[in-house]
Amino acid sequence: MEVNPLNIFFVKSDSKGDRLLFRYPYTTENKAENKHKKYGRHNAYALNAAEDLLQNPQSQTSNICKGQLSGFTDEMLSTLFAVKAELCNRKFELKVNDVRFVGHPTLLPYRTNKDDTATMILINIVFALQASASHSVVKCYYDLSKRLGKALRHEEKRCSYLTEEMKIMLAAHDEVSALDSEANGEGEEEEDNLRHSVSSTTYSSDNGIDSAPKSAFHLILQRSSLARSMKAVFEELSSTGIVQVRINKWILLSFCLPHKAHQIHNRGLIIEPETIDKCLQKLRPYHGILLMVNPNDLLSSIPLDSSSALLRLIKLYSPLKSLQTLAIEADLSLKQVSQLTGHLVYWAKATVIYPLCESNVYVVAPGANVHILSPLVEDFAKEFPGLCLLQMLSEFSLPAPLWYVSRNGCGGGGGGARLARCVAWLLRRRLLLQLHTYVQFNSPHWGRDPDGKEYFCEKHDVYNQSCSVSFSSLNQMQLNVPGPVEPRENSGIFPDSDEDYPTENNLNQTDFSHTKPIVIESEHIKYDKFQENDSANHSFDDGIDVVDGIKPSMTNGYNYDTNKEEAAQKKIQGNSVDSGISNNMNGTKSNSDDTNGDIVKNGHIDITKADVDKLDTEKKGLSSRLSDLSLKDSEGTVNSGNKDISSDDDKFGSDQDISPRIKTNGLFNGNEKKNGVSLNLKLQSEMSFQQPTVWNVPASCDVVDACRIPNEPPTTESLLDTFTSEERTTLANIPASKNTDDLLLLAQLHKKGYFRGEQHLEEIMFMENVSRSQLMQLLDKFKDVLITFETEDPAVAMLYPYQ
Amino acid sequence: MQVERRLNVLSQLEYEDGASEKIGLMSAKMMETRYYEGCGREGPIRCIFLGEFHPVAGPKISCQFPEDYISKEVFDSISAYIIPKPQIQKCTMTINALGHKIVGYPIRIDNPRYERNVYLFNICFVCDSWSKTVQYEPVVKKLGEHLTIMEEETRFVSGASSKLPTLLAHLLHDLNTYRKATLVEGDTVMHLKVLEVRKDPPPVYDHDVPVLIASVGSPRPGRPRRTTPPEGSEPIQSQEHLDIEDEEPFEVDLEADWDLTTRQLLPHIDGYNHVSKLASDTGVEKTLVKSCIQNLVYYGVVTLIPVIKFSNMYRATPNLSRLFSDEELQKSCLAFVTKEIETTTEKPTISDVLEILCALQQGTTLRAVCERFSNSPGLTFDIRRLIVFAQLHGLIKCLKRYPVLIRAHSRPNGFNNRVDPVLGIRRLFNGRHCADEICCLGRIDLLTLEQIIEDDPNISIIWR
Repeated sequence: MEVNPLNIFFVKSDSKGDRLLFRYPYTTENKAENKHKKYGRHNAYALNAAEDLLQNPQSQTSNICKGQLSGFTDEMLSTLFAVKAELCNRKFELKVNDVRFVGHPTLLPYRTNKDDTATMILINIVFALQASASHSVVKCYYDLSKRLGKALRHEEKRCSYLTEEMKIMLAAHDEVSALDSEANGEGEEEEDNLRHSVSSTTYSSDNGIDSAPKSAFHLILQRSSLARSMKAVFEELSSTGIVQVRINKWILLSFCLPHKAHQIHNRGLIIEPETIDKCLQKLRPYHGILLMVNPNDLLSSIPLDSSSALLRLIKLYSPLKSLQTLAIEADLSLKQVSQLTGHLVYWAKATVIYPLCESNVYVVAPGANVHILSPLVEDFAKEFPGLCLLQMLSEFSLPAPLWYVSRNGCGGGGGGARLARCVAWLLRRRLLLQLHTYVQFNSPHWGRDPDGKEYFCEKHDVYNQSCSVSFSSLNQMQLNVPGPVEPRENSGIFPDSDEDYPTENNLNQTDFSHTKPIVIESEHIKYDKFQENDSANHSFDDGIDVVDGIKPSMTNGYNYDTNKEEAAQKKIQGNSVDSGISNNMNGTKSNSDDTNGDIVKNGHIDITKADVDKLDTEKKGLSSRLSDLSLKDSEGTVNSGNKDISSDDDKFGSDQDISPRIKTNGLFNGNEKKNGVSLNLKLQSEMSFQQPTVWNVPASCDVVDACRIPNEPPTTESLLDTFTSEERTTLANIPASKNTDDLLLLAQLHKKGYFRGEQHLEEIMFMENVSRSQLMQLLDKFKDVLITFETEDPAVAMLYPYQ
Repeated sequence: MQVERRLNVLSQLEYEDGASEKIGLMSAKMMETRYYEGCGREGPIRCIFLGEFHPVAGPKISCQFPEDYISKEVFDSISAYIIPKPQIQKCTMTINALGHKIVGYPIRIDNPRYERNVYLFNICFVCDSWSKTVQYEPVVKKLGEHLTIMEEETRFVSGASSKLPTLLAHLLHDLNTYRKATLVEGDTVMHLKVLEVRKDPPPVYDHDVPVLIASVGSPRPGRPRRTTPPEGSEPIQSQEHLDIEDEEPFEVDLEADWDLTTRQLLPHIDGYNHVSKLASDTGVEKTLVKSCIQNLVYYGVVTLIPVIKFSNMYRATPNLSRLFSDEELQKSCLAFVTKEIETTTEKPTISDVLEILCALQQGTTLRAVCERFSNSPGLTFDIRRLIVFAQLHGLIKCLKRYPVLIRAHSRPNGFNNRVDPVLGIRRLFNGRHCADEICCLGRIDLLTLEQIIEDDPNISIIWR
């Protein structure tokens, strides 16, 4: 609560001296109370201890009483805030005991009444805060004070607004003090040092005159619009932290105190602007945004003169989309999108997530301190009838991919769409936290002290030599690697290659252990069920998605790509029958691409599963684009049908799907040109015997270029150099190293530093354009040297409250 | 440690050079990046001056050390906050302006012997505008109070004593170097000490386990990663006080002058005993144990972790990747886990340790991990020590189990009466108490609690 302001002051200082013109809230404490406080004696029986005679009277150490400022008279404050000219137009920060005053003294030309010669006047709008308020809070208040000062300066210049308002305020002060001196003229002499305090205090009850409080500030509040604006500022700061005030009905002052604003949605969540900055620095194209408010409400609350880019972004918003997808769809640069994201996060309108998809693993966030009688429980029950928040949280106690949760019927029978909405709800309230898998290369010899004699024996040396020999022979072998793989676009299979959940073959110890408590009787049953759920998954996508014009095209591109990958894998490893991919494809989708409509459906699911792979769109070749055209027709019907079925709150205006389509078409045209380059690259990479799928991403659009490591295909030798000789020994003992492609992929990823436990799988997938299944297989094959752990993405976790 | 100090000193020296060039025009942009406003770091006292209200000249600096650190122009523009209106006195005032942060404690002495029947003065500490100054406030206040007495007795301040400049110089040096100073002036002896203002310690619960931080060895948890020392940089003797966080964790000396309770408790704090057990083992009252532990937490001697049980689940934190790259941390980790183990067996390598830490995932209990690694050759150390170490360094976090009552019981018959203790326990299943806490509060063991949870279909468990 230290972010709330204690008080707002408006002080002027000109040739006639300084004056506290207005303050809000104005205190109503009477003097008797004041005196009481001064001596700090509440107990009537307390002895006036003898030490008081020897010691100095206790000094006041606190100026906050019951959440209000106390112990300052208005005159004291006005002398403190009327700064010298040297301190003008810069930050004013003064701390007295436990109160911190912050403001921006503004000097401005001022027209006096008599002649039109401009003199300078100083105004200072000061906020009183608790001294414990953090520096970033103080900075925000300073900024607000500065903006108010600027607005006033502008209005004074435009129409002498300040002059008029000050006249009203001064008149009110004079009126009240005149009344006051009439009423108890003799009483005033006693209060030697409280000349102005009468204006802030009501008549003390012992004066006998018991009437309505006639504080000058009360009058001012009735008469002056500036005073009302200040009151509005104060009250909006204390309630929401978002200030929208029109000064003189002309200048709109929009201000957000993020420390407070984020508490609208999450009590006790204090997010500092510095944290948002840090988060933005860590933001990658594969991240997504999750709006905290309904997009329709947000659109209507945005001022008319706002950036069209922001509007477009919000219109295209979906929690399923990555920033990159949003950037492409909204025709913005990635930088713009991430800046807009930062803006939305700052204003507590959005938070950063990894896009919702079925392979995401969520657990209960450490800060999810939900009492059984918490209002959240009720809100949740209202939002999702039939579901219980606590039960839902206990479902997420053990990490499992989302599709697994949905298959278990935790969506309350509402299907995937409902589950997705539910997860979004929980994420908004920071009750769930996503876990990512990080990989670390860990050879058994790693970490031994190289100069420690006990570890470095001749035996090892000999071994290493032999091992390096074996590796050079490996290198020789690579010459026999099959030639460049031709992408087959008409492959009759649609592999569900993003299915990352362990199948019979690729589940290994490390990666399946987290689901241990969940008993899985039979894999076949699992997949049968999964197939049944297919339609649910489909609606999962539609339910949460807002408007989508280009999905089918993306699907197509994706489809094309996976086919290619598939083909590549088939060629390279003849035994791909047991790979997760083919398993899935046999189990679920063997006949799925007979009709275009089906492809669309599958595409939806796949995109949900791995938004990262959406960048594959860029790789669309001509042929796929042709088929794309035909697809769009069928897609239109599918989409409209879905819209009717799913009545989602998050959904709004549905006609936007025309423009994105045009845009994407334009984009594709651009891509075609660049495809030539990509082919070259691909050829190069194949010359050096890389796994083609790793390198065949041309990163065709600038957006992608910006965030990729420049890819220059390294040679095999240099790749293997990244391993130490000991590591090579270990590698040589792993059967999977016999497969040069796997080994090369491993070496490549290792060289780029992905196996240092700092990048999660999704990031590797995005950066290197490898599919999830490829990575999972790699992890499985090299499980002796690759260890994984699951933890949160620091960029996302930054916006969570921590105890 | 040395290195960080050195860096600090270097950057501060640089900063000082810059400051002396453009004194009076200092702005935030010339600040070294590490020392920006709001960085939350403590800084040294740059200057101490005595401001007073001269009967003729008005507010002026009557004495300062070092000379001319605060120029006349700067002083004039801020004098309203050094010598404020007579109504404001005896309160700590901090003004941050023109690149200086000045902490003062204005004092007024009413006495007819002064020319205006009143004497106003203020002894002020000047710091850089980026630095935290809250720790100096009590010092300034105490100094002000003492000077008041000396002034009243001997007119020490207003008499423009020749001793004053030396006193200020002495004070500045001692406070910056030793963070304490003793001033002897006539009959008055003044002890001043700069105390670090820390965050309030969290409440200590019955089920918390205190661990001595010093026993875990460096680097101290929560501290930023060390930088490698630049080659050939000669150590610079630091004369100034620098950040307290950078100081080495002090070794806990069991024989030192701890208070009686702490002395009794310290030998029992081993990283496995929780507060309740400590209380019963030592025969000390529980609340006393708690406040003692809280005190130790405040001073960073101990930290609190959850009880280690083999049914616990742990999860890696993003910090775990630190252990992969930080050799210092790896060494201290290995040293810690192999402590108290005879060295005949082969020493574990960091990769063994990592494998175990990575195997600790949400969904896998510690027991399962131990069983999996029970016959692996690498497990030649105490896994419990590893858990303690990893938690202290924030590499893993323990997941707590929160039983929650999904819907209230409505059994009208006498069933509830028979299991009365269970009913009482059930009231704790509100999502705020974890299983450990419930066991402590309800004085039941974990097995009984698990039985209660299992018997009741209305109770769900949330791990977080």
